[in-house]
Amino acid sequence: MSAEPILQINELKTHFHTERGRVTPVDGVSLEVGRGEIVGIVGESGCGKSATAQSVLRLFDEKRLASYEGEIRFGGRDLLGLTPKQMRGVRGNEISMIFQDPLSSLNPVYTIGGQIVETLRLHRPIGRKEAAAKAIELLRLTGIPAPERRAREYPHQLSGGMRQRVMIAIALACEPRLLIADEPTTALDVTIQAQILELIQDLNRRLGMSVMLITHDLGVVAETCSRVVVMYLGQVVESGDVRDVFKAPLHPYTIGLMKAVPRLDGDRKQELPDVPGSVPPLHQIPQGCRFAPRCAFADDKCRSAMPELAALPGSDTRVRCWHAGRIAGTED
Amino acid sequence: MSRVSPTKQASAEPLLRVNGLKKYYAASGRSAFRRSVVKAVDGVSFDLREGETYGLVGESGCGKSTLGKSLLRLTEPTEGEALYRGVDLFKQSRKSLQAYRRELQIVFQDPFSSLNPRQIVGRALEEPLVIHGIGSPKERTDRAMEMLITVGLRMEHYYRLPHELSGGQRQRIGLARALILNPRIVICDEPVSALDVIIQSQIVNLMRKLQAELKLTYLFIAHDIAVVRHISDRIGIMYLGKLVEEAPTDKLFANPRHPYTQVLLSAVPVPDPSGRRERIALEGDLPSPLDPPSGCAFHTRCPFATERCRTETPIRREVDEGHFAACHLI
Repeated sequence: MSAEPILQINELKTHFHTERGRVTPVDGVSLEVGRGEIVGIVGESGCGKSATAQSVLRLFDEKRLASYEGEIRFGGRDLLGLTPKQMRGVRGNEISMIFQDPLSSLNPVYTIGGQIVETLRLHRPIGRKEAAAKAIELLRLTGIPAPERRAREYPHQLSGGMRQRVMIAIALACEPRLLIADEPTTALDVTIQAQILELIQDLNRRLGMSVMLITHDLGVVAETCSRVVVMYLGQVVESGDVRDVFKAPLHPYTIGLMKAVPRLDGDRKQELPDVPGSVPPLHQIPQGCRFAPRCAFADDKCRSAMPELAALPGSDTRVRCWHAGRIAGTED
Repeated sequence: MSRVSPTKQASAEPLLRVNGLKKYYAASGRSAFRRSVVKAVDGVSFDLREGETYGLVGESGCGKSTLGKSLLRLTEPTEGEALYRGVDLFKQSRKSLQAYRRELQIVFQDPFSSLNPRQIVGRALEEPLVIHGIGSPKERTDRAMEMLITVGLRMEHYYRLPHELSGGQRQRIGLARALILNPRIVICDEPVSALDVIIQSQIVNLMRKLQAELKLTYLFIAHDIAVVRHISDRIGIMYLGKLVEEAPTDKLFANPRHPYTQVLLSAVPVPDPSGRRERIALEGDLPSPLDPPSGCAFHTRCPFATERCRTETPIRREVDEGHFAACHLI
């Protein structure tokens, strides 16, 4: 069954129980990541892209804070149905995750090599020596120069780009089938970002590892992903092939996001077209279509009823908008 | 100084001329007997002309923010001069500097950290007026309310606390606070870097509108070259404390001359999947400013470096009208 996606999220809802009541940062998200595919998830802060990613690994405190609904199918089972112990066997082993700030994810008092060895020995029955050799091999794989020396160093001795390479090496230790990268290059300079994205693409090609790439940067998506999922306020508003979505975005939010990015070849004299307002907080979710209060196309229907995420006839792009047909130019 | 009209002055004399600015920090070396020095800004010269936006671009650690802060003497410069309408700001006493601070203001990346969390926004806006002894309390309140409208907020925001505002609204407060004294120059240090792209475009548009209305001159410091291109008339590219290239915006993008500028431009991801381009790969990381490379500071990462680059420091030369670069290979 090669057609079956590696990760399939169906109607996922993640609820947080806060002092102000229950909020739902992930509200009915459905998406999939195919085998060997890089899928980009974009949106502004507060749109639920990181919460979706963290829900896949069930990183939220389920005893007090969070509860889940829906289904996360990975490798023939529903991750939401696993016991905490079974889930520990998935994290870092079958699915790995890297974060924006590698320094806060690395332990400052252990060497780089030691931290890779720890991950390896947690999931694999291998000896210390063998693990150490594997750690050096992993560091080399991620393009770290002089890996034997670096393995003996501590996180503070490395630059930001090097630290992110170390995080990737740890993430790759157990040859995961899926890598979740949450804003992996946001804290890095643009020349270092280019190196890290190159590395992620290279590992995707060479190891056939699927990647879920969370970013706010549309340029990063355009350059690295084959499919894109656009989120707004806890929901998917548009998803499809990167080329289709960038060529002809159908959701007014996607259109707004794309126009707001200043481009190196754009007209400098023009104002940057922007969308009015900002993403509302989760306890003030608007009625009907969640984007309606900021949308130029909004009418009474938008303000009262929530559109479904659906494909237009003859299109592979799925979009959550009453006016998508009009925007696509296929209806009046 | 004779009175000249602003337009005439713009062509004749820059509003601010920075000459050989250096800012060195003493860093404790590995041995107690060896003191080392970080050359954060190492001999930067440029002009800021009346009414223009000068964009200063570079990666983290290149010294661009230190440069901005040195101009206002928020950190004391080590050497050089900053001539504001002919007067060297670096030679002023603390007291006489106060008067110039009214005319040169600064906006930071994160206005939240520069606002008192327990003070309402209105009071924070009035603070500069209080410091400079301007107006009665009633007049100050009126002025603060007026500024809120100017930056696209409402009068009711006067009574809000910083945590009640969104990131974009806080940056509007940052702008209002800088503009309340009617400055002529605003140094903007990464003013939109922490903002989401839609909010970023709102703030960039607002800054352009305010510049036109209030006849402001901007020094716009940022790492995002696409944003800088959008707002700047001229751009300077910094690498390891030095200005490696400077040109009018369109010239710089049409014909980047310094290899570092070329690398920087090619590294920016383009939001167009059909236009994926070949990148000029850049090896390695930024060298430590504690131990900067000899010769041209960029030679350790430059794809075109020759023997001469390793030994001899390149001098800044004019390669085209108004277009300067410091590279041996041009």
